[in-house]
Amino acid sequence: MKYTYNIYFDLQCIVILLSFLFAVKIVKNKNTPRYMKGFYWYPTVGLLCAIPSYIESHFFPIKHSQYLINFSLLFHFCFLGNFILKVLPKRNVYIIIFFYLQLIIISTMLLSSDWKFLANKAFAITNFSLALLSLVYFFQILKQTDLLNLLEEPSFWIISGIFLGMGFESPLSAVIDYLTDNTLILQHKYFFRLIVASYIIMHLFFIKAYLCSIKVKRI
Amino acid sequence: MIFLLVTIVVFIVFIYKQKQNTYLKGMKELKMIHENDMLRSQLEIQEQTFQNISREIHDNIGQKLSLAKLHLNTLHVGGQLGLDSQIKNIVNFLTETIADLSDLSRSMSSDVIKNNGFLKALEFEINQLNKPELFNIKLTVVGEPVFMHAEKELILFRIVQESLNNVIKHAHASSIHLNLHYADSHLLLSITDNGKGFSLDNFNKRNGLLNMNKRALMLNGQFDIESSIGTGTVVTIKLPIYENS
Repeated sequence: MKYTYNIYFDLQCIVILLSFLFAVKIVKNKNTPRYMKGFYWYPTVGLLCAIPSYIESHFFPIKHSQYLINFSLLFHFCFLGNFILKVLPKRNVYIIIFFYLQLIIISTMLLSSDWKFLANKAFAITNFSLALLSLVYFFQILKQTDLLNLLEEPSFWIISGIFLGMGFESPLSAVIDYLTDNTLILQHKYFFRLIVASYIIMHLFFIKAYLCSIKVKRI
Repeated sequence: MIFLLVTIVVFIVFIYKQKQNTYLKGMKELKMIHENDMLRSQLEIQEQTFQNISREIHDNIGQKLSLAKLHLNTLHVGGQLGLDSQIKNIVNFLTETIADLSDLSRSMSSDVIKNNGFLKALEFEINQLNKPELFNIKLTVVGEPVFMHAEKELILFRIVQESLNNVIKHAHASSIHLNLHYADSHLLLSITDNGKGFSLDNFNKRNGLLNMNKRALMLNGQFDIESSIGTGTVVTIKLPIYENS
């Protein structure tokens, strides 16, 4: 069981590493859209968080690693949420309020003393919010009159990655939360593997976005 | 779950592509309408200019030349030797010039087409070009001639004029054959010459040909040209006779 989980985890580390390398590569490319220039921070932090987790899963447990997970979750939400807000064709007050409200809720949950109990809930809420924001992006691009070459638009691939990854991850986190509540620990591993898979999917879409960034064509 | 999410994304892409296609199609149509409008305006301006020049020739220059001829005819030279015949020559030159100008005026004016129709105007044009006996221009009409909308006939006439002009200027042809075939729903016009021909590689760089093509497209017609060096040229125009055909 642990062996399979490790393979998934290794694969995730490789994909994040690739994502990081591509993200760094596009920084100096003159065709890269402005909103993609700073995107390398996301896989960088992802990689920094993946290394201790990798050590933990393969070798020995690291003390207080939960703080890293808390930080990474907060960063994950702030960064991706902010990215979606940045690329939204129409940013309105309700979306911004929604984003900050979620941020407050998640921060409160993670900073609370009972964080272990609330962490899975925070994961579920975070990723569900990101999936919702992605849906807002999709609706807005369908409504806008300024048409883009969608399949060559990096923002579309990033948002699709977030939507697929987080839309898939969010119910899984909720299930894990339920299982934890009901002390059904054994089933955890199976769902964790799926969560890892969702992050792999997301990063694969990000890689596609980096590749699109090299050559962006507008109609 | 993942299948559902992927379906949503694919659906969004599909809808977006459809919207994009509709938008691009609309843009293309708008561009075509705009180009047609531009061409129509150009033709209107050109026709107006032709009309003005034609009127000027007929009403002003023609009148003055006629007056000069009248004065010369009534001139008494008092039996001076040689002068009489010189005046006669000048009068003859003036007569020819007045006739040429009158022909030019008629050729430029759209009234001929409006009053007598495309076929008569074409016959007149061919007669004018045959006068100097430099070319042998023949016209063949197959089928029952049909009167089309005056504006349509005028544009078609200008295409033929441009085509004949090209043959005269560039082809070094001795024989030109115009064939007009009136079918049930369309008119097929071909202009064949035995000139030196040309390579069609640079078709897009030849403004005259492009203009003829644009004008034919404006009439919902087809414009084709066949030519190669040494084999002469065939210009074919196929037009719907009625607006809805």
